[in-house]
Amino acid sequence: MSKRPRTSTMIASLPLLFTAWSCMAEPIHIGAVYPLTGAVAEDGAVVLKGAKLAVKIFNDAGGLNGDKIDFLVEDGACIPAQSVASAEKLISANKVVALAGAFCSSSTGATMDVALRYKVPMVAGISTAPNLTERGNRYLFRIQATSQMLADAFASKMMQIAGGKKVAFLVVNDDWGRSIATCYKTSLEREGAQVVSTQIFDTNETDLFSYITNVKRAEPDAIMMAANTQNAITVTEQLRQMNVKSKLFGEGSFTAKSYYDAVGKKGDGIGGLMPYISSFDNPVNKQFVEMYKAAYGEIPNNNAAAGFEELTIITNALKTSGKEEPEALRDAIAKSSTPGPSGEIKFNEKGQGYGFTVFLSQNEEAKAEVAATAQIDKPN
Amino acid sequence: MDFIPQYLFNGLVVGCSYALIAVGLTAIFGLMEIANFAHGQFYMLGAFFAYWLTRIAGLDFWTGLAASVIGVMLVGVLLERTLFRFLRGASLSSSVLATIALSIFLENLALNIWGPRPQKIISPFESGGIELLGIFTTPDRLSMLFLTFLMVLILHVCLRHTHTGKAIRATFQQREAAALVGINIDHLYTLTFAVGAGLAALAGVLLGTIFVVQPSMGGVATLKAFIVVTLGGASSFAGGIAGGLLLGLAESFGAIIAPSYKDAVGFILVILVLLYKPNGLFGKRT
Repeated sequence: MSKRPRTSTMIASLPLLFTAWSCMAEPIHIGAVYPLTGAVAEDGAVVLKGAKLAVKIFNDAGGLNGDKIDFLVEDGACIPAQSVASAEKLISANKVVALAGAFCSSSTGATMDVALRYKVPMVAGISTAPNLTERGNRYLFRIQATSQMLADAFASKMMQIAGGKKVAFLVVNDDWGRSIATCYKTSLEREGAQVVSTQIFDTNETDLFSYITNVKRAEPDAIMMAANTQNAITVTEQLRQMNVKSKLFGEGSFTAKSYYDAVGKKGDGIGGLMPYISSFDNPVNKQFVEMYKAAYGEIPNNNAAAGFEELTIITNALKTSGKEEPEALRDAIAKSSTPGPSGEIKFNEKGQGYGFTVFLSQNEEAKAEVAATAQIDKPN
Repeated sequence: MDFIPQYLFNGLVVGCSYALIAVGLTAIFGLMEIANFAHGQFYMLGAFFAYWLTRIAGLDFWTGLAASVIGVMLVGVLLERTLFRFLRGASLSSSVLATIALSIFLENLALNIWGPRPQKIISPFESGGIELLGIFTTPDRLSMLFLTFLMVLILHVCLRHTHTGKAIRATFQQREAAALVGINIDHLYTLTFAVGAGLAALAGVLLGTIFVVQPSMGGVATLKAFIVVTLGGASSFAGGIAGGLLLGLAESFGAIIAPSYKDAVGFILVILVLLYKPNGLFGKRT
């Protein structure tokens, strides 16, 4: 009897081999809704860089049992309706098992309802509006400190630096900007501050002279700003042009490379309320900064770190649960403790992240230096 | 009261930028009756051309400005010949749809070529603020005021005292009659479109030194231009200028009363004007 397999047997086994091969490596569909166009497109592009780095690390290490992540990104443009449509597409058409995004608090607030409806876990960095984790949505996990947490952590130090009691707000007109005006007002008033002016400008506004004139008239000792991307650049330049002498603080893009490239030393002296600083002395951060520099040729900022953390939490949940199903991932994320560039990230029952460090930075020579740090404890 | 001159000056500067963009749209909307929702993209392209020519190609500011304006005018001619020509006589909804599509295309083209990062055009003047009689401003803003008045003067002289200017005015008044007396409407449309695009580009270059340059800047410019044209009257250059200044001043003073409703000021103004003057402040009665 011949020991060689018959030709017909070999041909017949080809479909079996094919099936076996395709079963061996199934892509894991993970989605993200980021602003890739519009007013904050530059910051959205940086978040995406951080996110892609985390995906690359997971895939290069072999993925989950050979299955690698197929990372699908849709443009939310920081417009709630568009972010919702993007999330719907990713979940219903692309069948993603987890979602990251959507950057702006208003867009995250809209998109998290989609995650709830389809029961897909959503990890949100960047968005700091406190109410997101007060809506009882068990599928939303916010890895950022809220504006209230940042305000409570640094209000006392801010008043010390301000050297006076009068405070004004100059914030962008969205959920994030408005919640900053509310949250910091509460915390600063507790430290004896008096709010003398609140100016709210549209994100597409380029000429802020009238708002700044309003602020100047109130003669504040300190001004708290909320501005991303081009708003941060224009607000800084125009405050300097109008010779405003108040001490300046801000949440947003005041430590971004694009910001420093545009304003240079005009940004010096601005205090940043930041979830991340690249100079933070922490082994996970040092490794992250090295990898990011190697991949992109620049130092990461808070947006890059947020994108990286969003996807690291998802990839870690894949590894700990060993499953590629939304509900298993949700449970794994809820119980997770993930080492991140700003420290360990855990979640409370409302999906609010805690355990990491936050920073009060000071811009000096067009770089962010650490002026103070605070640890975020488990919130109620 | 001390700050009133500051608000007045702020409003004049912003109003001039609106007027410069809107006058171009007046020419296109008024003459060709095309609602060009891509008009703000000429403003954006002007800014990006100037950024590229001065920051990357190393030209000096004034050469870059002239080259950018001419470049966008050529883009205008190309678009007029390939797209807008076919929209003449089309329904309003057709021109709205087509120009919105063009606007999205141009914005995304710019995003792909130059990226989302906000850029600056380096000003030929010293940076930093200056104080004049208690008013804070910058050399760039002053030059914008000056150049806007210069452009208005040039436009006025050309419209009043040149053969082409008279032909444009005649076509504005009565297109068919103008064609009957031998005015070449085709050439006039192309020229008007190019001039309209060029004026928007000039505004883009000047404002690109004051603010930032990024692909999304065109959308807001289009919106403001339409508000101004509606306020001033669709077929009146004087209306475009007056409307722009009025909007700028109203927004500046509106910011004192209700800062977060500053944008609403423009729309409230439009409603009020249209209630009493449906064709705009300087518009023709039909």
